[in-house]
Amino acid sequence: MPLRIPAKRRIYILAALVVLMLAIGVAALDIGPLDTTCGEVFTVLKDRLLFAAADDRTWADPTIWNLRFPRIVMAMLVGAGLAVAGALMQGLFRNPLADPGLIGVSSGSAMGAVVSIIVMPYFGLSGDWLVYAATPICAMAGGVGITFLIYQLSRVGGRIHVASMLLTGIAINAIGGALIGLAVTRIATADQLQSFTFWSLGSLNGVMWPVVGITALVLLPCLGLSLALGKPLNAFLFGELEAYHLGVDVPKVKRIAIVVSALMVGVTVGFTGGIGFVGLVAPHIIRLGFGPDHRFLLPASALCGAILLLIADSLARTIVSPAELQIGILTALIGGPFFLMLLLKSRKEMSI
Amino acid sequence: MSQFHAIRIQFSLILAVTLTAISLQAESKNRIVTVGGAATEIVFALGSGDDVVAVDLSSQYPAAVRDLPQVGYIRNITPEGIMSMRPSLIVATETLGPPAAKKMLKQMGAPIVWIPEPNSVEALEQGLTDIGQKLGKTEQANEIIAEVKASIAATQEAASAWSSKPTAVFFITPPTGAGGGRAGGEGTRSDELISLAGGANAVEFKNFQGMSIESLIKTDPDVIFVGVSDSHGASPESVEAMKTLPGLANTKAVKNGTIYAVPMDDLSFGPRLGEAVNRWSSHLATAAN
Repeated sequence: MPLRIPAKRRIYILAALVVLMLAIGVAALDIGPLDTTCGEVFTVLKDRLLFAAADDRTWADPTIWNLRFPRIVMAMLVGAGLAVAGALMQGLFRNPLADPGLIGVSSGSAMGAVVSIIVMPYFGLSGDWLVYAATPICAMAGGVGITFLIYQLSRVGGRIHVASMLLTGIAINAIGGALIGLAVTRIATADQLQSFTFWSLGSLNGVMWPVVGITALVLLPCLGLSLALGKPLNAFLFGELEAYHLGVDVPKVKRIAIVVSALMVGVTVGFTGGIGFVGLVAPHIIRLGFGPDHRFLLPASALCGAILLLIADSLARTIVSPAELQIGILTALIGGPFFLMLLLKSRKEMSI
Repeated sequence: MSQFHAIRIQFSLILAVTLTAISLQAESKNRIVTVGGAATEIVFALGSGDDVVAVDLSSQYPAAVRDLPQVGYIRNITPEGIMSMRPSLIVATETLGPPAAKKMLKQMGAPIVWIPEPNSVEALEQGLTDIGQKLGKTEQANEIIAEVKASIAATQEAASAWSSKPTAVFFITPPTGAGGGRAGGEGTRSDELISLAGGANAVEFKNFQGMSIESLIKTDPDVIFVGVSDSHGASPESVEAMKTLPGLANTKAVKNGTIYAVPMDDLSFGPRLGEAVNRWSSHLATAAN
């Protein structure tokens, strides 16, 4: 597999992925427990996007515009964010098994969620703001905070040693898991335990436009920054020292990759809970198909992650309707076997 | 030809009138979606069970609800799932989640009755009153409230004559040979039920927590309750097995045979609360006298 793909081909493939993503997105607008027709989807989109007058709207309008559209956009954002964070981590650690969980952002977010769902009510805190805002804020703060802690702890003489960061991450994740266990078994009520369980399996259920807005505000600049890391991460493929000799500012690239990943995963997990496997699988699908050139891998992973999550969410919304499955169950259930199949198929060509 | 035409028109008219009548009748019928065991039980107790078109997974009583479409578990409800049942009324317990789904349901503009979390007689009374009012069955609701209260009062009257206040532990999962169980502490519905039935909860921790066999022996309650259910929770056999657990042989509950299987449903705090209190109280009574 060649490392570099010709620029022209890169653009064609990316354009094809964008078209595929948008097509699935529009199709997903028509899928759901409530029956809607393609005509209604078109009318609602036309009315809303052209800011038409709001007089004769039917029930299809709130369904498509308020229930489905925001979560479809959110699925794209979350999928892209998780996939790019995974690709960055795999590039940085030069390890195909790396995912954002390694730098503590997942367990940090889970700790934040536990604090908001279980610990804060235990100390008598309650209220509307707590119910709606506390979990995303705490989960995001926890994810970014723990990543920062691991980053600081693994700094030796001002430099980050990747192996020591990995080990620090494992230790902090273990402590985090224990603290979560303590809160869940010792002070959680049955309702809180259920809320946390559902949170940890992830869901785009109940995503509203303001949430999409906040996520986009954090995610889009991070995605942009990530794309700029394509070239230096390619140099990383040969090793840190080699990258340094190729003129890459190694500490700076590490810092940006870690901060950007923590922010992207932090904000998405904060709002949608733990959605596993996308960050690991999406970059691999692209790498197995098109090689490891990060200038292509990063944008293509973003699109691949968005597509994967769009499909998973459409299934989550429909297969047990009028009930709903947790999306984390589906990403693992679909992603796992698919990933395994890809691995088995390409095992002969690969040396991993 | 014209005669045939006339017949056809007549037939069409009759058909149209009939269809309109049928559809009017269909529209006058409520389409109720209930979320939460107590909400469902109250709607059925008020005689509107036929109007219920979908329930959530936590609604298990009466048995007929298990054949209805399910809109998911009470903590994990999708607004679109509920709306797809085209409800004319939603009756839900306030613990419906996730919070965003609750907010969205309110924005969808469907008529909703929210009832308080069912964990006390007061909450049940509130729920019955609110749902009764919405369904136009205030009188029936008041009757049920009076019945439940009278039943509990009678049970408590009998309990006040006991020579002692028996202590009790409720297990939501019973201890086995391999390990401890999960018992209900302060703030749980089982705690409330024990005190309504005239007993005292023997455990002092909060919420449902793990309780080892050793600490059960140390606590040595007069009565042990185990919640059983055929869909989730323990089976009657596991309750029998508890009696033969090594180490428990010297406890009061095993020696006196005061380990009881109680329906998990007793914790639903619906219109059958009076029955539940009575059942628990009669078990406690054997230990008190």
